[in-house]
Amino acid sequence: MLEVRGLRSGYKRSTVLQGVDLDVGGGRVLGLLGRNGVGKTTLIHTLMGLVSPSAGTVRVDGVEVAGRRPDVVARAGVGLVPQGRRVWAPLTVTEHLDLAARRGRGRGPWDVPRVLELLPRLGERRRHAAGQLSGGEQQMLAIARALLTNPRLVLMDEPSDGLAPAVVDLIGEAIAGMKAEGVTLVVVEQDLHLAFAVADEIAVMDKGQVVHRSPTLEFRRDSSVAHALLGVA
Amino acid sequence: MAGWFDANLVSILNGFAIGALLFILAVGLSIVFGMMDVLNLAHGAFFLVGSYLAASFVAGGSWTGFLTALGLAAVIGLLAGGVLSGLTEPLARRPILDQALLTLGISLIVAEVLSIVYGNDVRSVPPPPGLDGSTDVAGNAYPTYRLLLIGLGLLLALVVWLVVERTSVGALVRASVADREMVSAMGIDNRKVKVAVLGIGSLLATVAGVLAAPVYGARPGLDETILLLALVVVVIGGLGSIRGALIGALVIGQVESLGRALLPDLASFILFGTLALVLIVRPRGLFAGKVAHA
Repeated sequence: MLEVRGLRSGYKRSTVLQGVDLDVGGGRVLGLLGRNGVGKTTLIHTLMGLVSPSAGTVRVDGVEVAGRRPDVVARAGVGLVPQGRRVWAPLTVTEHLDLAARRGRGRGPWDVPRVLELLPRLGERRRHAAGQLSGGEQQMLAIARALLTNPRLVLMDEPSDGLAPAVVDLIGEAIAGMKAEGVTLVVVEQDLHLAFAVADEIAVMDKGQVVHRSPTLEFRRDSSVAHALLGVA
Repeated sequence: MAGWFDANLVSILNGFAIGALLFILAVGLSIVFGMMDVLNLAHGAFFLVGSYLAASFVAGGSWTGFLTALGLAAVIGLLAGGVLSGLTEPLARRPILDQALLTLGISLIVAEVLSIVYGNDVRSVPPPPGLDGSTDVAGNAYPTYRLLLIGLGLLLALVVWLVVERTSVGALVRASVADREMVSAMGIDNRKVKVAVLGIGSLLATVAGVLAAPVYGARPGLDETILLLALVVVVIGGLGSIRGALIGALVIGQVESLGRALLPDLASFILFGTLALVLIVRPRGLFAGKVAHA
């Protein structure tokens, strides 16, 4: 579904990604782990087209999207739930949902009623400006916004960041709901609890490369990898 | 109080007329800058194109000429905005100053061409027939056309506000001001939004030029005066904010008219004094529409 080969990318003065290779099968959830600064967010941004790669290929269902504009990548079936949510603060929840739904109408199973079923809290906040929502509600809105474009692949960057444990569980349920509908996900997470709960497989990044890959169960059993690459027991 | 109000009514009304015009101008400038970081310094020149169109077609003071000028101004404004959008596109990833220089260059070229075609004399433009008299406003004779200009300006302001704040197209524009990368990540081509907004913004500038011509005429240098006032409005109101542009325009309208009438000695100081005051108290303007993200 997603095939990344030799992807190099970064910002003006520094190359962050040093040749990333990554495959994610259709309908699978990949948990992407790694210490701060190893290039997880740069990878997400490069996959989405927000950062231009200097080398490498990115294929989504066989379509080459490396170096294309974000709107082209989005139309190829990729959705983004970015770090820090980045909802449009002055717009209401309804305006977010309508904007997204107009893009995604007829392209897949997700419409507004369906998304509100998955994220019922948003239904109670429809008239509120996104800037007035709690962090958890903003995260749900960011998920809803991505989902309504009916993507086949969703990139999520630290969805649990700064959220209370009970809200993280709701996010986990939402991810499970997307997976049940056949959406492929790449979830960057610091929260191992959430990553282990939702991911079929775990990949670990270090120094701009994917250095480890294993099924979640195996990764949990062998704590030496987590210890060596993430600094946790 | 009533006596003061009565004595200054004409200045206050003039202030509203200027304010309404400035809003129409500033709203395009503000949204484009808030959304795309394009500082369109050609905005004043587009206004002047409208004024000279009026000077060309309304010479005898006819409705046909006035409406022809308005229609032509709308088409030319729309096209000019589209062309400008295309020209700034290659500079989209360069610093704001590069784009500002490009639009400044365009504005100089346009102003020079206008000066070659129309000469350097001040052209006065009569209001359309029936609107060239004056109307009694609380005992003061006030030019009818200016009253209409105030009404029309406020009506246009209301329409622009409704479109931006209450329609789905407006939601797209506000989303682009707040975070255009995320709009793009939804599959929407930012460049199309930019062409549309620059087109409509420039249309408003040329149309405002026609509407203002019976009051201010058409003359070289008017473009710079108008651009400066509109920029002050944008800075005071906050980038990308409709409400800010409206309030800023009404404030500057009164500062320009009432301020000059009451304190003629301080006329040139008072405009920038107001700007400085706002910048000291609210450095991002009264209603900044742009929200920073990590």
